[in-house]
Amino acid sequence: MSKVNLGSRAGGDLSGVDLFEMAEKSVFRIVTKYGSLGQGHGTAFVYKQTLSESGSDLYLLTNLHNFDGPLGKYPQFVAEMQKGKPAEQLLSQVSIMIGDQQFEVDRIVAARGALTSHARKWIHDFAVCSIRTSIRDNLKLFAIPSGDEVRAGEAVFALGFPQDTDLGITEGMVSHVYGADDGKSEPGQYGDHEWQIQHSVLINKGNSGGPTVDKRGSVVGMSTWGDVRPGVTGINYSINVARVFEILRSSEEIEEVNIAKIYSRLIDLAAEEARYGR
Amino acid sequence: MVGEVDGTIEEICESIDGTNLRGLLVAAGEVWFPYSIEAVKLLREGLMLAVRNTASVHLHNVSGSDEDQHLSLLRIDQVDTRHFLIDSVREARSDAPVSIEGLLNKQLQEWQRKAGDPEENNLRIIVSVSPTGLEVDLPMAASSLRGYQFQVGDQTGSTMLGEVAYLMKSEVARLVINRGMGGPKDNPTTIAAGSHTLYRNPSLDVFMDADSLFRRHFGLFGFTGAGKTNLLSTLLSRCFSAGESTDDQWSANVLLFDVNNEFFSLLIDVIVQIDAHIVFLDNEIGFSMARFLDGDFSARDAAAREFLTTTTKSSRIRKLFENDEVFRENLTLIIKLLLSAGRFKRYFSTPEPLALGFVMDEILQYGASLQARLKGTGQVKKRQAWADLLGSLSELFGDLSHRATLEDFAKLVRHLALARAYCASDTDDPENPFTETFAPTIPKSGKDRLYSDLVAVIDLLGKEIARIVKGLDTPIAARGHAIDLSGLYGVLHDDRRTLVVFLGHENSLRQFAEQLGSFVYDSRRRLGVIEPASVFVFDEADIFIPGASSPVGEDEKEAVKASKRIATTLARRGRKYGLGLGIATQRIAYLETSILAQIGTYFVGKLPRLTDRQRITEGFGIDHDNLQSGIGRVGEWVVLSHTSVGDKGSAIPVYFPDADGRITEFVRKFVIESHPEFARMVRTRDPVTNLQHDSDVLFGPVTDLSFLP
Repeated sequence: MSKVNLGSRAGGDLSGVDLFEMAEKSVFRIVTKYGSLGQGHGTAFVYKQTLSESGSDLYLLTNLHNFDGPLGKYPQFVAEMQKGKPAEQLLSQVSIMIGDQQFEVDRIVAARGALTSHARKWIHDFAVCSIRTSIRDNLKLFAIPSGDEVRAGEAVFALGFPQDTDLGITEGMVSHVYGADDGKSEPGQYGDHEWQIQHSVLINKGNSGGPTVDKRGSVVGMSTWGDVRPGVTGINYSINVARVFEILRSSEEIEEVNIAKIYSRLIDLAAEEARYGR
Repeated sequence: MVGEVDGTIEEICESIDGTNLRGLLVAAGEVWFPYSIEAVKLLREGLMLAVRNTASVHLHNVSGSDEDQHLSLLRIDQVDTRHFLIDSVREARSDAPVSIEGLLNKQLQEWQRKAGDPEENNLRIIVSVSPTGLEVDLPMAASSLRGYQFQVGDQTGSTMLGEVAYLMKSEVARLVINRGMGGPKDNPTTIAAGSHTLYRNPSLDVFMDADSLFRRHFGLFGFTGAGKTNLLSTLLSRCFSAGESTDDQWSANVLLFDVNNEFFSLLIDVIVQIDAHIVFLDNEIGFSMARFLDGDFSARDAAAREFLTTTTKSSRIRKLFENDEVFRENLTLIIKLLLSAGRFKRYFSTPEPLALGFVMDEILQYGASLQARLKGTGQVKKRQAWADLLGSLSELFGDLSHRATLEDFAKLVRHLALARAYCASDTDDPENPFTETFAPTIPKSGKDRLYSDLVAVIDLLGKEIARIVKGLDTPIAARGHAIDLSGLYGVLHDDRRTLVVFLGHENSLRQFAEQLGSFVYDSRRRLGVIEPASVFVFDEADIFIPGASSPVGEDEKEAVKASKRIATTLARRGRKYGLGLGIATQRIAYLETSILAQIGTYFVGKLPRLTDRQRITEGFGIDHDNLQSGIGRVGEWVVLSHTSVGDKGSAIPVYFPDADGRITEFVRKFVIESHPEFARMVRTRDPVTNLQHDSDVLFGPVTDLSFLP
């Protein structure tokens, strides 16, 4: 039995308290462990639940950049190996945490080529993964909008785990909605804006991948990045989730990524580089 | 120094229409040549004349012309022309002015005299010369046996008045200018730095010894637009190619403090071909670059474009970048690949990296993380005992600020061994200090399990300490996108040639120069290291080492003090440890004078102000000002060196090729396959590029669509 979009569209505006309660059951911490080098944190949210006799499969959406951290740690892997650290202590792993329970993710669906792109667009910064849980309850999930329903001026909320604290909710307003034609960015400019929702909701590291929801309980965006230059405040971006699902529906535009294999390949590669001397 | 010649003296001197140009030594410092248009064009300041000296006078004349000839070499200091008749009439004032003017008009065509025209009695070219202390030795008697070899050596006789003066061809000049130096093919540290301005056909390469250039300090001085940056690029590029045609590899490093971020595009070929690092010292860094350096590989292309817009380009390179598509695309590609290869880095400072306190922190942190392994029966007691042990380790040393030594580690290991011995034995040993530490927490009787758990953890900590000890002997390797002092020390002391370009705010550069300079200087001094030659190059040197009279802002005072301190140390004492100083500036008057006097090699470009030139002649220790002769075209400089050229102490006019031309060719023809080592680094340093190679295994089509809502 599949269950999607049980948001309360029809029932009028939801309060922050309502949204927070929904999030407690469907917004989870995602943890990237870089072997013994530490860990990174982000947020993932359930958009689909498939119930079975033994529990349920949960499908989660998050940022792809919650998975590519180990690529960025690569130079440190090499340095650690040169210092004699064994490979098994450096193997990365990504897990979804539901309370104390840890669900390891070994495969994801992502935009084709996005993980290994040197010029990834923000709109391609998404990843879908699934975990098998023993949850038997019907979860109340945020709705996925079908089109460009979001408008500048709407109040929105971000849910996630900022700085790896407990689940938190923050509120702000959509400042601007960018569409397909806003993808062009001049060299060196502050990122591209294609399919992004600029808003004033406070987000921090750790919010990445969390839902940005409106008062109807629809996920209009996924918290992705913020303008953190000195002197800049209140300019944050969520990528347009409706657009993300459009991409996900096009088999030409997506691929399955064997994330566990990539991490192990990364360590082999680092070992090879470490052997070269520097 | 030996050269070869096909015949006699006539073969090595300049001639006009097949006839040797011959002058007459009329006084110790004066030679007269018959006037002709051709001769005027040939005789130029800086060229060499040869005049027979007394060593050619032999007691036993064997066969007349077969005698060995010794010709003193004289350098032309000044060339004038003189009309003797007009001079005498004018000076005598014995005629009416109109008669003198009439005479002048009448003689005017005499200046048109050509070499083949009938003899002219009134006109002479007056050449002032100075001795070089050298002579050309032509062993005429043995010429048939020795293949007409001639030599240049120290002068053995004095010039004879009335002797013929010959203008030497470049064959002789080459031996004078490059005397005592093997060419680039014979000597791994010799470079052909540029070509002698006065000898163009055939051209004459001026050799320099790159090693002493680096070790004995150098300075580039020229007015705005003289091309200092361009020359520095050419020089460094040539120095880094030294030894390419020999079997020996010369290893050297350049640390370039680039205030204006303008060397990247002028050294891009060097950066690709050797071990090079572009290091950002502070937050003057673009957003995309910051993202990339923080590990976000997806920002690479944006970082490359961003860096291209922020790095300063020479006007020629900028025009090419704007108008030449191949150039623009290749330049962008090269930057992307450099990013992938890990050549761009952020500097991060760590506390004195191997200070004992730092090492102990690391050990204790690791120790604390091991606590989690102490589980199961008696967990609380075991953890308490472990905490006590760590506490005793932390109290082992009083002063933690000194550099960690092997003795410190020996003490640590002995201490740990005692703890292990206590835990592993069955009885309390009253001699073992850990009896006091452990016995109250865990009595020995019947609790062996607890102690054996502790032994396992002690062993793990021991392994970690062993690892750190190992690291003590080997410098910490450079990290991919960040580098610290130890990393920099490491790249400067491996067997590769290294270029590090530092970018940042003026004050960051000043302060960092001192931090790095002192670290390297102190380490080398302590360890007695003198190799490889490493030179600290300060572009816009007046910013780093201003004289006492130059204005310094309130917010700059401390930073300026720091950079001055290190530059002075390097200039005065760096040589002992293979550390050199290179400076480039147009404002010599604003420069700390004491440093000028330490410089071994001066490159002097256009310097219109006499005071600037005087600073140089004083610093170099010569009393004449011929620093501007031979400087006409862009790229023409005068080189003065006591250390790295053959003709030491002389002003050598040298033409240095344009760096823009070299860069243009390199960029337009760039293909990564021509640089296998660079290609390897791109592949192994950039995991993203590497994963792309294996995309079949790691990525696949999506077959299960159950994830769709």
